[in-house]
This record gives sequence, C-alpha cells and structure tokens, in this order.
Amino acid sequence: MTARRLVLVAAALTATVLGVATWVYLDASPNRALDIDGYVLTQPRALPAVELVDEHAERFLSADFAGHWSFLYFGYTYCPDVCPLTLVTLATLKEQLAAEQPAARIEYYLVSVDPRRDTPERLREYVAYFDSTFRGLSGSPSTLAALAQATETLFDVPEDQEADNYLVSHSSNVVLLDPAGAVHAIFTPPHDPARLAADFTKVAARYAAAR
Amino acid sequence: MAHLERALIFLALGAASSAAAGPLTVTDAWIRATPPGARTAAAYLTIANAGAADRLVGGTTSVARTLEIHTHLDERGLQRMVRLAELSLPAGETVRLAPGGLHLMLLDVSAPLAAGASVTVSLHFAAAGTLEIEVPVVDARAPSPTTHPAH
Repeated sequence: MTARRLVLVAAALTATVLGVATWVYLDASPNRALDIDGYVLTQPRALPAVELVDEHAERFLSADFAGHWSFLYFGYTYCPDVCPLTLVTLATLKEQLAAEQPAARIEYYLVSVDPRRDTPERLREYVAYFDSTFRGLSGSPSTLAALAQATETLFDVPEDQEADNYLVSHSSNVVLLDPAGAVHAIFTPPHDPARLAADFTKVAARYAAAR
Repeated sequence: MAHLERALIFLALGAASSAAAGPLTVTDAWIRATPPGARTAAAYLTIANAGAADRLVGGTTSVARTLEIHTHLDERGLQRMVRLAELSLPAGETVRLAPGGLHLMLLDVSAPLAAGASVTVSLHFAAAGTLEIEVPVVDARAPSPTTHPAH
C-alpha cells in the first residue's frame, strides 16, 4: 500500500468515524441539528497550519481564511463535467448571496488537487472564467492531503502520470469555513444554489447568534 | 442548474435538431463551452432507441484527439470518473447523457470551444453504424445579473 493510498484510506476512515460520531451525537443532542443539504460540524474544526499557493503564485496560509466565510470546492481544471457544474453553481450562489446579504464577507475557492497540471496561471484563468472574484489554490501533495483530511475531502491522483490525460477522482462536497477559518459545515452533492444560499443563511445566523 | 442548462440548450438548438441512424434518434446534443486553456470538454446528448438493443461503442471529432464515454461512480462520496468501453442502448429505451453523470469526454481539445460554435461529432454504434451530428457549443455559466435580472 502506497503512502497516497494510506492517506486516502486514513481520510476515509476519519470521515467515516467523524460522520458516525456526529450522527450519534446529533441524535442524542437536545439541540436539534440544522437541517441543511449536508451537515454542520458539532464543533468547528481548525485547519492545520499549511502553506498553499494562490492563483497569483503568492503564498496563502490557513490563517488567510480567517475574517470571512469561505466556500471551498476541491477539484481540478482538467475536469470537464462536475467541476464546471459546481463552479457555475457557486457563481449563482455568489450572486444570490451578494443580493440577499450584501454586507456578508464571503470568498469562493477552487482548491486544485492536481498541482502537477494546475499551475497558478492555469488556475487563474480557469476560476476567472466562472467569476472574476473566485480564487484558486493548490499546494504540495502533502499539504493537500492535510487540508483534505481536515475538510473530510477525498481525492485520488493516479501515480501513473506518463500521459497528461490522467483522471483525478475527488469528492464533490462543498466545504464551508467560518470567519474563524475553521471547518464549519459540509454540503453534499447534488448542489443547488438556492438551497446552498438558504442553508448558508441558517448557518451564518446561528453562528452570529452564538457570538 | 439543470433548468438553466435546459433553457440554454433550447435556445441553442432553436427548433430542436435531431439526427437519426436506423432506429436511433439523437437529440439535445450540446458541448459545454470551455474555459481558456482547457484541454478537455464534455458533450451531452439523448439517444432514443426505437428498435432492437444497440450499443454506443465510441466516437470521433475533429476538435479533440480522443473522444471517450465516461461516467461517474460514487464510491463513498468519492466521485470516480471512469471510462466505459461502450454504452448499452436497450431496446425501446432512451439514454440520457447529462451533467454530473454520463458524458462524452473530449480529450486534448485543440482550441477553446466558444459558445455559438458547432462541432461535428461522429458516433459509432455497434448495429446502427456511424451517425454524424452537429453539436452546438453552449455557455452553461450563470447568466450575468446585469443582463438577466433575478426572479
């Protein structure tokens, strides 16, 4: 079993254990869970301190997620189907939330799990195609693995990359980070922009009420 | 999103175009316009089979080096895109290739595919032979709020 496989399996196990634990906790909890397309973590999870690279080839740290809400989608630019579909959904979501909650500070990120092909320049032109404010991030395989584990994201980049046409597998969740930069909620596909907007509004309202 | 895409397809096709090979009829074909620098693209279509069982075994297009049949398998939340050697077209049934599921994947696209363009695609069927179709390129992005007021 390779290191990459181990990471994948470890991430899957972690996600499963956390998922079951969350379910058991929520089921027993007197505080009803928010009804969203996905789930809210019972306790927001801080991201590991990692160093990413943004679409301008600048350093981007986990701490840079703080100060605003963040929607993260893990994918890659060679992905012709689900990634464009999700980015269009996020662009529609962005417009809706901007109209409904103009004061809310929200950023949208595509995190590429395919740094070999997705250079910052490639990411920049790709995300800008969907929305001029969208950000693109990537990093080393170990950085991405750490980020994936914290965000309950699965991905699998084949090691056999002799051709440039390899396919990358990845979960199609949308991850919500709160203004503390912690993993707050996970939205599961299929994604609908109106539902995401309504779910975000519920989550953000409860977050604000708790402060 | 499906509604938006359907609306866009309808606009793109105008008086819905279809192509037939024997008992097979292909409708609602479209290719997702590609972002700058993209090397891959996805095409979608609907195949109605009014006759005996057939199979889509492949295809070609001049705008990409390779055309493959792909689908997504959901393995505990991991979306695994896999290549299919062929696609079954059961007798009397309609098979839809649509975003988020079955699609034709174009690999090594030679130039960006811009909305409004049209691409010739040859589909190879085991029994019905080859069917050549013109596939419109459609921009499936969210419409700009300035041109499409929110409802």
